Amino acid sequence: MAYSETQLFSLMATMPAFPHSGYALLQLTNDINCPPKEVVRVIDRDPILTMHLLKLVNSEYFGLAKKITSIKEAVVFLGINTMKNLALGIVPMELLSISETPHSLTDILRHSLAVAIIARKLARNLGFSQAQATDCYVAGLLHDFGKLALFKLFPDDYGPLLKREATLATPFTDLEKKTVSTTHTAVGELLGRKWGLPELIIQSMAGHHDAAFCASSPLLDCVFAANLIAKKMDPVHARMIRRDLSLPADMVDRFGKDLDSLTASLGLIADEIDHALLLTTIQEDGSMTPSMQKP
Amino acid sequence: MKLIFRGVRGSIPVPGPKTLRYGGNTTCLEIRGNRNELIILDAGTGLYQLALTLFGELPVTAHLFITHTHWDHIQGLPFFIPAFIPGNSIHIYGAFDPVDQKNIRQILARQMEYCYFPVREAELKATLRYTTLKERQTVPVGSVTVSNILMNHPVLNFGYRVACDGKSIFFTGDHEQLYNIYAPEDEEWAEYRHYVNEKNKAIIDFIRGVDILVADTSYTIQDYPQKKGWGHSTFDANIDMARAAGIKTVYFTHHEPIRSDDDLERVFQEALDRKNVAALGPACYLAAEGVTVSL
Repeated sequence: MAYSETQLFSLMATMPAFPHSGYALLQLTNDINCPPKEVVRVIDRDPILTMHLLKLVNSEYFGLAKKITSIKEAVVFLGINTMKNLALGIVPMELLSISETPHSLTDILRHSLAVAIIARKLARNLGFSQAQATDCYVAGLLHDFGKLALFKLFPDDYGPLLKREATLATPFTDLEKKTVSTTHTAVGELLGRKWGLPELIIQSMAGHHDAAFCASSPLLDCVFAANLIAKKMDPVHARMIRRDLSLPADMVDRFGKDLDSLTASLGLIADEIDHALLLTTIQEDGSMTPSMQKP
Repeated sequence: MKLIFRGVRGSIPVPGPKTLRYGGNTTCLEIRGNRNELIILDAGTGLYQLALTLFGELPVTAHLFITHTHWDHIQGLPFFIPAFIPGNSIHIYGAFDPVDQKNIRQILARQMEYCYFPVREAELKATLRYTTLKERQTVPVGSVTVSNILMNHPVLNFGYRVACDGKSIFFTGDHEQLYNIYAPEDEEWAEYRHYVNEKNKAIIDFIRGVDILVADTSYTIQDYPQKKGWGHSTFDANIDMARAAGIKTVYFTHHEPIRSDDDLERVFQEALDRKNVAALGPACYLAAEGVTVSL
């Protein structure tokens, strides 16, 4: 079914507001010595993050003797370090607006987290600042947000398309245009602008499939390469890949490595991704979604 | 009941001529119940010294309670020889790690992975049992009971109260006195103070009247301002805690690795003078490796 631009715009208005506090927390905690009260202030202003944290610390899993009712109380009872790390574990889920991780979207969550973590590592390896690397992380996390938005807007049309994505030989964006008259990159860009995100993140949402465009920016290329590496690393995805995944020559020059050597240079990145996935999958009772556990 | 200090150093073992009197091994306390039950608090490198004394009483049943799993509290575990001998039983207890989402078995098994140690956990000959504790859970061990409370450290840390026939010992594990993260002019200061007071009261109530307090005393009050938030306490704060809880005897432990025996005695004496301990109590001692205290 095709949708008019007006229809799309009015549907987009129903999308949730962007959780800026999650982004603020990521940037704030780049400094290991950031004042604890600033961390608490950021979390306190974010009701969704607060709700997730309180559910978690009060879960059976945690085993506390006392019911914790506020973030400040949690910091006193559990320490700022534990709370900070728990919050950072929940932020990706919050940024992706997936609070209940419906099974059909878990692949996107897994892939987005992988791209985020790999892009951050590539940026750090290239010598970028912690803050720039964090922007790469958020750009990686949000690069496919357009897919989540389209799924939310047109679950019946877009859902089946998403399922087949990895097996398709034709560019995915062509099929998106045929099915919903737009692409996840265009929708991502619109949302990024609506939310007032940093330009790098918007550009990555808009152009992460455009090798030439990404090669023009020293941080976008990290997200571009991370996207390919994540696809190659994912065992399910890698088995089904029908398209050639390789870095354009100018990126190979810039990284000093081809895609395989670049992947090898990341060390134990798969463990880091698995660990990050853990905290995004905790349910209200403190248990984890089985489908999201390490295969 | 008997308490024997097997390791009293904080952070890292420091053998050598300057630490001969108090010892260089990291945290390990042996406690014997009135029916000779073997309770071990923490598995720092001092655990090896304890292991060497156990050959005369095989088969051994040991109950090992881990305050937290930082290196200096678990490093002796792979060298706990009774674990290699069939017929012995080792029960290990500790907290769940909410950030890594691992129980005590998963955390400790990692330490025995092939790249860190030649014998895998599954190859140990003794019977090993693990219990992930909830806060305030009481474990009976013959005539002894061991209960716990969450203290204040960058990871979850249980302080353990060990009681037997009317006598009791409390060991803080690693603990920093609670402090307000807000300045008095901040509007959140009073609310945070309320939670701090509540938590302090919970700790004081829990340890009130124990016969012996063994307390993490890494710092002097001069050291502390640079190390605030690192999760360790001072001589002065521990004297205050003992007084508030009506405890008559305190052993200071987790000695800073940088301090020689002479330095340690000097800062200890300065604290006793500053707090007028001679007149006001409690009786204070520096914990020393190999020293036995009978209750």
